[in-house]
Amino acid sequence: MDRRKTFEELVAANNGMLYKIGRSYTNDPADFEDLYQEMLVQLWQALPTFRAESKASTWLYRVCLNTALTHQRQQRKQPQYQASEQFFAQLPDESAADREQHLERERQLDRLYEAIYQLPQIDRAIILLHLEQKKYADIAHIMGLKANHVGVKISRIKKTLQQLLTAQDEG
Amino acid sequence: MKDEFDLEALWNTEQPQADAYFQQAVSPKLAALAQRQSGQALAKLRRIMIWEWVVGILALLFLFWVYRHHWFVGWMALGSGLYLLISIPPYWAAWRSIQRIPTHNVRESLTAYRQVIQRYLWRVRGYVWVATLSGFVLGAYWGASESASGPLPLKAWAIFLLIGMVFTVAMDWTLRKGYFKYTYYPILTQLQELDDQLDQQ
Repeated sequence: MDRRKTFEELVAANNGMLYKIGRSYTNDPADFEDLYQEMLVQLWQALPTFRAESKASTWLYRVCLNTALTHQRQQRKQPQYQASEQFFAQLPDESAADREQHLERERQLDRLYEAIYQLPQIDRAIILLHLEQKKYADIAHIMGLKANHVGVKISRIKKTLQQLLTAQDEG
Repeated sequence: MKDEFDLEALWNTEQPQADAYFQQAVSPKLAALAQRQSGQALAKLRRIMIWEWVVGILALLFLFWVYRHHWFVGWMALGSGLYLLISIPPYWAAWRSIQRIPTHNVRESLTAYRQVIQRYLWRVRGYVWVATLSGFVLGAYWGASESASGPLPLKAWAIFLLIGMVFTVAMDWTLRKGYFKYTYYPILTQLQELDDQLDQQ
C-alpha cells in the first residue's frame, strides 16, 4: 500500500484523537488549527517508521502527544481559554432541537476542556489517554512511565480535575 | 460536579464534532496540509543541519578555488573537504534520528529532544570559537607574510592571540546571553519542566 493511502486511512480512522488532543492543548481556534496541521505534518514525516504490525493507536498517540507538547513550548503566551461555539465546525443539517442539544453538549465539553487545559501539560496527556479508555499498560507505554505509577498519577489528576470542575460550577 | 462516568460519556460525544471538522476543514486538503513545512524547533534544526552541510561544502570549494595556488590553504581546504564528505553518514544518521524523535515514548522523546538541542548549541559555539580564533591567526599570518618586516615576533603573536581570545569570549557570551537566551534556552527549560512533571507522583 502506498504511503499516501496509508496516511489518509490512518488519519481518517483516528481524526477524533487528533481533534481531542488539539483542543486539549490549545485555547484558541487559530492555535488549534496550527497544532492540528502540525500533527498531520509530523505523522506524514514519521510514517516511514510505522510498522503495520505494531499498534497503530499507540504510535499515533506518541507522535501526536509529542507534537502537542512541542507545540505548547513554542506558544509561550497563554491567553484566556476561548469557548468553541463560534469557532469550531458545526454539524451539518441539524434541526433546531438537535442544534440546541448540540450547543448544550458543546458548552459542557468547553468546560471540560477548560478544566483539562488548566492541568500541567503531562497531566493533560495522561487524563486524555485515560478518558480515551486506554489501559494503564498502554498509557505507561506511550508516556514512558512505569505501569504502577500510572494509577497513582491518574487518581491524583482526576481529583484535581474534579476540583477544577467544581470551582467552575461554583464560579 | 460531574462524576467520572459523566466525563467519559461526555468525552465520547465528541466524535461527531471531530468527524465534521475533519470532513469540512481537513479532508479536502489533507495531502497538502501534511506536506507543509513544519514550524517546530526540531524541524528547524533538521533544516539548519542540511544548510550547515551545504554551506560548508560551498565555502570549502570556494576557498579551494581562490587559494588553489597556495600550498597551505589549498591542502587545508582539500583536507576539510574530504572531512566533510566523510561526515555525510553521521549527518545523515543524525538527521534521521531527529526525524524519529516524535515516535518515541514521551519520556524518551523529551530526552532526545533536549540532547539534540544541546548538541546543536555546543556545535554552534564550537564554530564560533574555531572560526574566530583561526580567523585571527590566519589574518596575522597573511598580514605578516605580506609585510616587508617578515615573520611576527613571539610577543606580537602572544598579544594577537590574547586579543583573539577576548574577542572570541565576547562573541560566545553574546551568543549565549543574546540569541540562545531567547530561542533555545526557553525550550530547554520547558523540556526540563515536562521531564519533572513526568516524575511527579
